[in-house]
Amino acid sequence: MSIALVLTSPTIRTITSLQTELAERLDESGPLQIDATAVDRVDTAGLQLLAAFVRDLRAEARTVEWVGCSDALQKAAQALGLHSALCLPGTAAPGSDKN
Amino acid sequence: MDLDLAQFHSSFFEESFEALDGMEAALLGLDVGAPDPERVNSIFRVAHSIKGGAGMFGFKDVASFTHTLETLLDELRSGRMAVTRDISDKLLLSVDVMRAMLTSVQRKEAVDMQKVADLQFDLEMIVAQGAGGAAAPAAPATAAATAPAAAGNGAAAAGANGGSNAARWAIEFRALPELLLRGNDPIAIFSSLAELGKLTVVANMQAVPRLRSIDAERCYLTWTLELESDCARDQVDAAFEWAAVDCELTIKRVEAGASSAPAAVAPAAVVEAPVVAAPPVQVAAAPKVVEAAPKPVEAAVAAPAPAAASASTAQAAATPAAAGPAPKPADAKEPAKAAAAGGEHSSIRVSIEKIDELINTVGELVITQAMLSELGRKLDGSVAEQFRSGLNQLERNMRELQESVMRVRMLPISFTFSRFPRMVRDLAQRLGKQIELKMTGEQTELDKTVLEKIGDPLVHLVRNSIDHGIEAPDVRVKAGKSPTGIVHLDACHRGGHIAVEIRDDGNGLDKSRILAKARSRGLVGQNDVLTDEQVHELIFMPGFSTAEKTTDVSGRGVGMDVVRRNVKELGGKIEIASELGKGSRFIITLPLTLAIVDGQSVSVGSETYIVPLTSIVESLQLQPQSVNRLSGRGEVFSFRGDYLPIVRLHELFGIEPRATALHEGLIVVAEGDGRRIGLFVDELLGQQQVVIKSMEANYGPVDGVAGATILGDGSVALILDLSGLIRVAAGTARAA
Repeated sequence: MSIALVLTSPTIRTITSLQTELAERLDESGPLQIDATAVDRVDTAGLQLLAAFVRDLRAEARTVEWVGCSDALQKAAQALGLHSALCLPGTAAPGSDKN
Repeated sequence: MDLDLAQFHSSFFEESFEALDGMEAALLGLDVGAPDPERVNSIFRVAHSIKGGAGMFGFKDVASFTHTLETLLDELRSGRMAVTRDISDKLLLSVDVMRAMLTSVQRKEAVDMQKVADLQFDLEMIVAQGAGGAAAPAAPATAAATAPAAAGNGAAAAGANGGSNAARWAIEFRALPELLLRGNDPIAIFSSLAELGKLTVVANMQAVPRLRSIDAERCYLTWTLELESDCARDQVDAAFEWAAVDCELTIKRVEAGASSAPAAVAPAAVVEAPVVAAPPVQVAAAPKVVEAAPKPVEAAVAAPAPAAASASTAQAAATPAAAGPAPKPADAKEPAKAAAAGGEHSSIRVSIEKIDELINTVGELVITQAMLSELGRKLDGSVAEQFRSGLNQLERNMRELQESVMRVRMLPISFTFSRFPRMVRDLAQRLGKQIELKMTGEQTELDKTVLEKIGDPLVHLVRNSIDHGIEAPDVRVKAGKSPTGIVHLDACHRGGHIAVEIRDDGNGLDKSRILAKARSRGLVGQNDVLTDEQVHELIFMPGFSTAEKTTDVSGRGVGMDVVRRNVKELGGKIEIASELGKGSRFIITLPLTLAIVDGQSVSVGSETYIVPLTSIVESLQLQPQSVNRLSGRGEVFSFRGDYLPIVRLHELFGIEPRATALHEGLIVVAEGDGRRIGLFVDELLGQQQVVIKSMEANYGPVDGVAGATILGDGSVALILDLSGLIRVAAGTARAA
């Protein structure tokens, strides 16, 4: 059983440690759960890294499931047009970015 | 015939924009109810002369609009109608509309006729109602007839009147690598754009490398945005204001009714974004692409891209600031004079390059003169005496010449201040606050370069004061204050510097909230005790904001760090004083000019260095017993209760010194970045003004060195940059 990835504050301040953590997660196998309930602050650097992460995961045919997603993250993703790239809840499939 | 007139277009635009600036200033000073007749006259003359020019050059839309405006102003001038608040608002709006129209015409773009027609209708209504009941019923008919007619006039407006659909702005946004590091976040930018209308954002991830090879602080994403809004170009530009230097940006206006490519591709997969490259030009239903830009134009928000059909780009690019708030060499204090057209000005326009060349030559002359003086001292005999007295005369003249030339570059700070009355008025209205703006010391002069670069930081600070500082009227009354808040802008000379102060009587900085926010973000430990200065320091951290909700005015946490960076780049500093409940003061200290520095020359071995006088605290001779050695941290000495590190300049620069024992030489206590050090030098030589020669331009940047200058004997001396020097010294101490 995989352990969910818990995000807190994916911003440029913590980006290096986040990158290391995500890179380790890429080495695992199987589906991945992301818990972003506690995300209170997020910025473009953070979302860009997450989007790259989700893309790389999917490239290896792994699935991503968001078990929780804070408003802050939802709003920021929508503002940047990355909602579907992140496979966030509310986008049934990539390609239906809602606005 | 047209060809002959075309050569006068640029001066018509230039004069019109200047006159509009004057008209705006006059309007802001117009007393509702009892206006000064001369002021109303000067406003009338602006409208009149623009109408005349526009008519002559065949700019029919402009002429038609100014005709209506002139009619209203004539009513006011003759006293047949009173100036009301509503009228003065409408007149201000007219200034905006005329600016926008002239800008469009100048760039050979379509004029936003809907806005023009709406306002023209309002103006005609005012005239009709003011002229009495009899005229009123007829007015709407006239207006309605005029509006579409006006819309049909513009050469490029043919497609512009296609119903009431909002116009679209197609925006391509590509961040440069430093964007995120500078505290600019596209989230904030796009959010403020979204407030202007319906925004569609399409992100392109193509350039984003694989996770492992990402430089995570860099922005690889690019965006194609489409904004459905009738807003003015300025408003779109404003959203990118702080990021403009860190991105490549293309903003195109797509007229209403036209379907454009990005809208069609919006729902497509983000990962497969090549569709965004579809040129918006050849879409069905003849879209009206006003600025066809084949590729992003670097940071050129205002400059139109080369359009095949338009030959006017060079002209437009030459005056990119046409509609912007750039300082104009007209006397903004006296709009009446400014309005009275070019002939009466006793000034000429000179390009800044010519002036800089002049300053440079004078700088060289100063050096030559110093060399001659040096020579004169060595001469003997009777002729030498005459020679020296001639040299003294030369030196006096030289100093006068240098000062006069420097003054040419100096402009009163009112050029920057003049944009604030309008801004404060608009902001106060938008935020529902009552604000009185006081300005003093507007005639204080400073270097044009400094003046231009200080504009944006000041705008930001004033915005902050209005949004965060001044409370809503009811809150103020409850706190026992007058409902009207005061924002005070003040400029004055202080020593060799200019101090600009932004003061408000609002709520002041809430230290406990700043501290709580900083703790929650982990910037400060839970139990750390901070001094007031340290707490104030926190608001300069990138991305720091305590605003409860983000408004389009401020609160996105973008800015204070940029403000400080801009001020520092100018060799200035910014300080904060604040008292909770009483208000805050932001004090910016700036050098008068960037070309000359007052320096203390010091000798180290055979070399001479210049220490900027502003950095020097004092100079002293040390007794051996007052020096302590710390293991691994070098030497320190006690100075007014502090221990300051000693930096031996000869070690730092690798020079053979004359004195190595501390008591044989001197210590210059100097500060930079709020830290103090003791510079150990052989001796002090003298104080003098030196002309700064850029190291970057002539050699390359050197840490700890601000520039170089040429001394009287022809030798080169380096001018020390204390902030850099302290960093370098700290680095070597750690390495040792």
